[in-house]
Parts: sequence; structure tokens; C-alpha cells
Amino acid sequence: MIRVWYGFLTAAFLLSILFIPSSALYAQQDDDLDLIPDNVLSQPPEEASEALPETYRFKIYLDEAATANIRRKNLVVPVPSSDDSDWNNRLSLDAKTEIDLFSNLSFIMADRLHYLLEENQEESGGRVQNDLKELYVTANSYQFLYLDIGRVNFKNGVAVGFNPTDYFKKNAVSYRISEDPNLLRENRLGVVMARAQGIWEKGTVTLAFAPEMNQDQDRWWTDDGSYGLRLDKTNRSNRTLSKITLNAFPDFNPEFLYFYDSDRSYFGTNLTKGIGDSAIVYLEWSGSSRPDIFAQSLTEAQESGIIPFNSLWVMDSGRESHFRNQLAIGFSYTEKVNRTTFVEYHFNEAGFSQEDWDNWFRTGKEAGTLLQNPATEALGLGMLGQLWTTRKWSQEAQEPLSRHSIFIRTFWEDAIIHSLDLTGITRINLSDGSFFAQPMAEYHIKKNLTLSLCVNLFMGSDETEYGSVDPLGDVKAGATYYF
Amino acid sequence: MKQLLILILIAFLPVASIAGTANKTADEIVAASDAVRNPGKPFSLSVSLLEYREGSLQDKMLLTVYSKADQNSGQYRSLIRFIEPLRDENKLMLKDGNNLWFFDPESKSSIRLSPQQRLMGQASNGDVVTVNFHKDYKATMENEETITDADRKQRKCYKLNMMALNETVTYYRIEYWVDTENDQPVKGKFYSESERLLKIAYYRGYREELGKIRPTEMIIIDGVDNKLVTKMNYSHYQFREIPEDWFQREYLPRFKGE
Repeated sequence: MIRVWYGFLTAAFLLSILFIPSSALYAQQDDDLDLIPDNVLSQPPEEASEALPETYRFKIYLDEAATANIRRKNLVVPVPSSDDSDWNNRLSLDAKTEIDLFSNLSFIMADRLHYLLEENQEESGGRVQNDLKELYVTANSYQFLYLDIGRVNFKNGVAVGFNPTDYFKKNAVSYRISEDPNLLRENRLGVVMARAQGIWEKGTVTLAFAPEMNQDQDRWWTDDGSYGLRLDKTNRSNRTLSKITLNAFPDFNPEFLYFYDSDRSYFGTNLTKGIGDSAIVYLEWSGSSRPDIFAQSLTEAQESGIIPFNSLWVMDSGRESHFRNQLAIGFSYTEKVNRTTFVEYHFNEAGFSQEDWDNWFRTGKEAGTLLQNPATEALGLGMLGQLWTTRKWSQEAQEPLSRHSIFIRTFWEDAIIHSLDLTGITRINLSDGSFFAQPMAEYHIKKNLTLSLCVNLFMGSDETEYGSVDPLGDVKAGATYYF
Repeated sequence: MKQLLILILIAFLPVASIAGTANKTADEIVAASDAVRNPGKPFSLSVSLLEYREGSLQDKMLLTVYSKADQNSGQYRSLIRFIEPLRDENKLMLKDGNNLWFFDPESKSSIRLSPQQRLMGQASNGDVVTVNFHKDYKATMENEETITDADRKQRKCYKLNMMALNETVTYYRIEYWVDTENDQPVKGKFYSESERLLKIAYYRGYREELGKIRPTEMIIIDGVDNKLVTKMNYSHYQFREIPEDWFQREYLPRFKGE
């Protein structure tokens, strides 16, 4: 009897083994778990604070930057009045606050106060410049309708290096803290406007009107002093913008814009599309009937009295308006190491062709020759004034001076070592091969303190876009502290 | 005869057990485990990300995530607000399908990102935002395994092999272990198209949140540099109304947090 039961149990055991999946008999040895340090497992969870209703939000930080300039000697086209300091220092206090006055009414203010010191200004103690970037109230009704009134920083465009549809960018940068378009946007003045926006599930409609505040130069809102609002620069003319953003298609949200400024209409569009999980392609276009960049800059300089109204233009120029395109087309690609690169082609039909550049340098050299003779010096200075006015205008209007260019921006987070971010920016003039390059390193030494080192270089032969500017470059050391 | 009957019953017990699981398809198991991770209604939660190298803490990030399923696709849309570090405070990230936008309130500009962009350490956007795997992956059952979870406990799991249904997802293939008892995700191994192991994730800290036992911690081991470990904690789950306009790019400059 015992033998029968023994045989029965043995058979049952063997059959069970046969049918039970082998994995269920013993736990899988999980080597992956050994990769997790014990303290990571044993530390109690660190919980983020609960998202509670806030009646105000406040952000403030201090930004310090010391810059040493590398001078370029013997410019082919001399600058009539150049800044020849070898170093400068900027200390900026940036503050932004949003206060909910009522459930549907908020007040927003953003301000940046600079203390600026340059070589040869030590005795005067430097100067202060305050940039009131934003000051407006925003109201919400029917849940989907918003109205903003005041000085608003209203940015448009999907590209990184040049935004043809960012129609309110002109004259918005009051102090050029960097050549990095990202940093320039942080230091930009808003435009006084009334803006209405309806946001629905399938899209957004935006209408904005910015009035001209340029009629009287001697009013408090046009003051260009330390604490001046400089509204004459940001609100130079009456402007309206209409924009429709469609959210009707998955992965494709086209945007269409119509902008009206000084009897001139602009049409624009913004398109983006994802390619796989690593790449984005995008296009930003704007077109309008306008003169070329030389004619437009001189017309505006004459209107504002920077150059005499009756002076003859020193370059043959496309004064007549016809439809001209501006385009930024590019892609971004993110690598597994968390490095993202943006590559863009920029086209500005109103910008300088190589023929225009040749003309610019030939005229500039003639003006330089006239400077040698006291009798013709004033004429030479006038010619140089016109030539450099165009270059300054292009910088203030934030549009490329040349017709064809390439822009590349690479951002590598936690590069090589932890907390080190590397950024590289370059702009290449496709006609003459000259380029601007900016390598920058930022190290987050503490959670609220970032140190940075940045080099700017303008490279090219003497008669090229980037080889004809002073300084040749600079080295900038900075620190940012977040309160 | 009676002994033979008992013998047959004993022998076939495990088979009956496996046959019981066969009623649930692999895709249904993935959908059930998605329901464990994700509440069915719009919700918000707080997320902390801690990055460790060889056991020492080297970075920290705090976020608030607002999620709501899209009625058409069933996939979640998420809006992420950065709380810490201070330099990133109030920055926003919006994920609506394959549209991923990053908004910086300092520059007032929105930049479109690819899903590959990482937040911190090995935590991708896809790890932070709410994702329904069963919408993006086709699952097949490999077998059942008893594995050790992150609390060193034995868990009997379905081992699933999940293949991406479209090329826009961050991971091409996922090996996924789901507890047979309660559909709780226990572990995942995430691979690129070239079969490179990108990361290993363990789900733990199960506790009741919004009416269900859900994981409140995820530990991610870097697939290449395995000295790098990222720990994510989820807290302050809350059902909430989330207006549709929160998921519009144009709304980002207007976002106030509540």
C-alpha cells in the first residue's frame, strides 16, 4: 500500500514538473536590480509640493557679465563714430511679476535694470538703463476670450535664428546683451497694444493693434534716458496684426498671419512637422511689397532726422517697392546624448546680394579716401554714415543683412560632465563665406547659480560681411543668480 | 481509478492556470496596466525627479503635470510646468500627440521639440507625461515569469513584448512585466530600433491614489551608463477639470498654474 502511494506521488510530481512552466518554479535572477544602489531604494520619496491656486507669481534674478573686446584694426570701411572701449561690464536685475487682481483679471510686469560700465567711464561711474519690458492687464471672459492692454511682448515665429513673421521685433532690443537670438528675446521691449485672442479646441484667432506713439519726441513716453520708456521706438507707426492658428490636424498646426504697417501689407505663415521621434522640420515665411534694405533704412533714417532729408544716396538701390520674400526654413535633430541641433537657411530678398556688397565696399573705400583730405572729410563722413546706417538698421530690425545665409545652433545639455551645458551658434554668409561663431559654456554650480563663459568671433577677409566689423570678437564671463 | 483521476487533476492544475490567462489578450493586459498607471479622468499630479550617479544625488527637478485624454485618439495630452530648478521655473512643456512644444516665459517663445528630447538624466518626456502604451504598441505574450521587483519581492508576471505601431514613439520595442494578479506594471526594458537597450524601469511605491492602487515611484536605470539612475516620485494626485484651451500652443503664454 505504501509502495502504491509512493509511486502515485512520484508520478504526480514528475507530471507536474512536466506541465508547470520552468520559470514559475524559481524566481528569475534579476541582475538589473543590482544596478540600483541601496540608498536610492531606501531613501523616502521626495515629494514635490502640491500645485495650489496662486494669486501672484514672482521671479527675480541677477545677471552679471564682464566682456573683454578683441579689436579689429584698419577696417576697410571705417566706422564714423565707433565705440573703442576694450572692456565693459553689465550687471542686470531682472524681475517679473503676475498678480491676479480678480479671477478673470491679471496684472503683468517685467522689468530689467542694467548697470553698465565701460572703459573710460570709470570716473563718471557708469550709467543705469532701465528696460520696462512689459506692463499690461489681461482679462478673460467666456473662458475662451482674452483681452490684453498695455506694453506686451508679442512674439511670433517657429524658427530660431531669424523670424520673418515676428512683426513686432523691430527696435525691440534696447541693449544688445548677446548675439544669441534666445538671449536677445529675453531682453526685448514689448509694444503698447490692445490684443484680443480667442482660443478654441480647433484653433486660435488673434487680433492686435499697436498705435503710433512717435508724433512728439519730447513727451515722457518717448524719453530715451535711463528710465525712459522709449515707446517712440517700439511704437513707431500704427500697426495691426491678424493671426489664425489651426489645430485641426494631428501633428500639423499651420499658422497664417496678416500684418499691416505704414500702408504696407505683410503676409506670413508658420509650419512645423515632426519626422520620427528625433527630428522636426519647419518653415517660416513672410512676404510684402517693400524696397530693399538700403532704401528702407535710409528712408527711415531721413524721416527720423538721423541723416539729412535732402542728402543723396551713395549706393544704387532698389528704391521701388515690389513683392519681396523672407524665409527661414530648417530642421532640428535631437541625438540620444540630449544634444539638439537646429540648422536653418535664411533668405531675405530685400537683403544685400554679392553685387550690393561689392558696391558697399567700393563706396566705403572711396569715402575712406575722402577722409584724408580736410576739404572732403565731411563728405566722406556723410557717405560712411549712410553705409553704416544700413548695417545698424538691419541689426535693430533683426533681419539678415545678406540675401542668403545659414544659421546653426547646437545645444548640448549635461555635456561631457554633469551640469555643464554647451551651446554653439554660427551664422554663415553664403555669398562671401564669412561667418559669426559663438561657443558658450554654462555650468550650473548650484541649483540657483550658473556660471558662463562665452566667446564671440566675427571672421572673414577684409571685404566680407563679418570680416568688416569691429570688434573682431569678445570674451564674456558671466554669472546668473536666481532668488 | 480514483487515484488516476486525482493524478490527472494534479498534473493538469498548472495548465488550467495558464489557460485562464489565455482569456486575456496581451493587448488587454497592457490596457489594464495602463489603467493602473493612469486615472481615467483628467487629473494633475506633482513629480519629483532625482538623478543619482553611483548612488550620490547630483540633480533634482520638480514638476507639475496636468493630463487629459483626447476624446478622438484616446491618448493623453499633458501640460508640464517646471517648478525647480529656479532657472527653469514656470517654463512649460505641452505634449499633444506628436506635437511637443516648449515655452520659455523669459523669451515668450515656443519651440517645437522632438519626443527624443530628455528632461533630466534618463527621464524622457514620454516618462513624465501620461502615456497609454496600448495605443502606441502591439503586444504579444512571451510567457509568465516570477521576477524580483524593486522591493525585492517575488512577483508572478506576464512577460510581454511590445512593438511600436508608429515611428514617432520614443521606444521601438519594450519588454514589459505585468503582475498576473492585479495588472500592476513591475518592470520594463526599453529598446531602440537597433535593439540597443536604452533604459530599464521599475515601478514601485504602490498605494491608493484616485480610487485605485497605483505606482507612485519609477526607478530608471540608464541602458548604456548604468551608474546613472533616475528616481521619479508621483504625488498629490488630483482629479480636476482641465479646459481644452490648456492644450493649445497659443495658450502657453497665458498659463497661470491654476
